[in-house]
Amino acid sequence: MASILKVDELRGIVSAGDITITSEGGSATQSLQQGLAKQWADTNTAGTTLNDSLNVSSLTDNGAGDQTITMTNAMNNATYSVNMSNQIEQAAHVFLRATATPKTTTVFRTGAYFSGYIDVAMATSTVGDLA
Amino acid sequence: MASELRVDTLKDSSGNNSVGMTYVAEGSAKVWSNLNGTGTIAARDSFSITSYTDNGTGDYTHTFTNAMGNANYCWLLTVDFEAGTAKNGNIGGDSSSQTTTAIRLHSYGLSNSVENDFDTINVSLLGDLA
Repeated sequence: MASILKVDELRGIVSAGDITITSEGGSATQSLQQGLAKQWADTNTAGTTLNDSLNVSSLTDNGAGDQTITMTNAMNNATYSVNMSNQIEQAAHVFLRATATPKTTTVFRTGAYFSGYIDVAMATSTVGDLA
Repeated sequence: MASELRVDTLKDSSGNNSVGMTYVAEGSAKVWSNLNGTGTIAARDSFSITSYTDNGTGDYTHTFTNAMGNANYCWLLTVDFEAGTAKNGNIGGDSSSQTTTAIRLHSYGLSNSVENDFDTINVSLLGDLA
């Protein structure tokens, strides 16, 4: 019989922020918290609205191909890892604007470029440590 | 002593927001990294990375702490944009050298179509651990 655990919050005993899960193959254990996405978002093509998201308080359209994501719950530092994809069938490539606009614990900025900055539907996800 | 909980499904106390442990385990990133890929490369932050190798300009190998169950995992890669340096870039994984413990990446500047080092190389992997 399948078992179901009903609970609102999971915490580690030794360390509140560290719960270990056993790997799919059974030969390793790894931190549950570290592997969870702390943010994700899906925007419309104009980059003006969020179609769906997790831990995002706002999306700012800075202009063509230029968006700022602000997170609801802050990350613990600004060294988190963000990945993104262009969701339209076009050769535009997408990237962080981390050098020109350094990330903060709550904000990162993205760009999309195809012979000039261009609006695209953008998918982003963030992994790292929450504060 | 560490405690162990064996359960198939997690729900909140109201019985909503159900998620099976399969999704918890398989949906979690098994590796992630934020690498400074310029000069002497160095991790800013990472999870389950044991080492990095600088194979040359725009050519990096990431080696994992815990091996993946197979070499068919999914990788997500992103670089930053360095204004004014012709490094408006792109990055790809080298599938021919993808193993259960390492992935080799190549980052390109689109303006000059050659491999370039980038200040930020972001990686995350999804798939089954060994």
